[in-house]
Amino acid sequence: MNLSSGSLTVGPNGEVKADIFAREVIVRGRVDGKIVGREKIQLWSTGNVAGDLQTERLMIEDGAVLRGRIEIETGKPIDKRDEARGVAAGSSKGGVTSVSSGSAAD
Amino acid sequence: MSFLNKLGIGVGAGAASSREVPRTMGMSGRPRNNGPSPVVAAGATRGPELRESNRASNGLKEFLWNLEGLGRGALLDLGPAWQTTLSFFIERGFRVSSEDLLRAWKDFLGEEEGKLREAAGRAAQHTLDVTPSARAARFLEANLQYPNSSFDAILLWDLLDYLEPVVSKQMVANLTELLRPGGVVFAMFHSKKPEGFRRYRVVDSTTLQVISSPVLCPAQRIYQNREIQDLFGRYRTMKSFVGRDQLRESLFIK
Repeated sequence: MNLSSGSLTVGPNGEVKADIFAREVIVRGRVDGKIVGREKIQLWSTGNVAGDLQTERLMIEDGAVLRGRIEIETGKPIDKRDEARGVAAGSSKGGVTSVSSGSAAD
Repeated sequence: MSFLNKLGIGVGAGAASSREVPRTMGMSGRPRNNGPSPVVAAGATRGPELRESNRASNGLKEFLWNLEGLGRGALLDLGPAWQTTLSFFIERGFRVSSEDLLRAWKDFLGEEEGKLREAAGRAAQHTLDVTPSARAARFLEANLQYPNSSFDAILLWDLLDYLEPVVSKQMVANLTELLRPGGVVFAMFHSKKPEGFRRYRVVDSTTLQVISSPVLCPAQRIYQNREIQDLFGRYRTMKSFVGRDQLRESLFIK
């Protein structure tokens, strides 16, 4: 699943079985595959990822489940700020794709 | 009563016993005590209710001391993917792998129960081997799949208290293979049966945050010192710190 300049949101009922390449990835559902979020990856509390994460900035909400390796590409620390504004800003740049229910597989 | 409860490994909700004020955590681990958060307004699901308290950790301090000068080391965190813990180690140059093994164990037991129900409706030749050793083998075939000598450090937390002893024994053997010579394991053991279920995250180099959480799995065994030594018999050094909260922190160096 390649959305090089876009954002992908996997909704709380969404299930993706594929590697994901995007500018920003928000996971509120289940992802089985590697996630490359060039700028940012967010795992919300309902997020469940089985796969490696590669990004510049990673945000993990309490309750999220991760099984995989984390690679922070530019040495930037995991973002500790409240990302409320970041979520809104993420939707305004580039394309936004949502997987809010059902499933996707390659 | 479910199959898991009959086995004494039932899964249920437990009451948190901490006196700390509960608070809900936000997207970045910051508390959201009052008022609606903009993230929630945007449609986020709120995190689970958590009760927290801090404890000084000589074990963590010693663990970090052993890893000093490692450069870009590889760390395996077998607890939940807490932002603060991952951030702490990534900022120090570690390549971190995260695998919440206790949650995986709980999920595994649920799947086993489903398979058993399925097998009960089939012919006898399709029955599942439910001996502890067979179950341990099935669980470990699906978890901790990394090349040998992949890691310099492993955060084992208090997992062993909650796994079936057969699983614990085999898991420690597997972890020993994953650890490089000279690598360090940080583990915790309860000196008596824990009243509630707690998870841990790193606050700073000498402090752990203790988080009372819904019970994932009930405690299976309280290990005595000799039993711990036997479990980690292949390690060249063992060091323990016993806290007033009945929690023993142990370091094992391969």
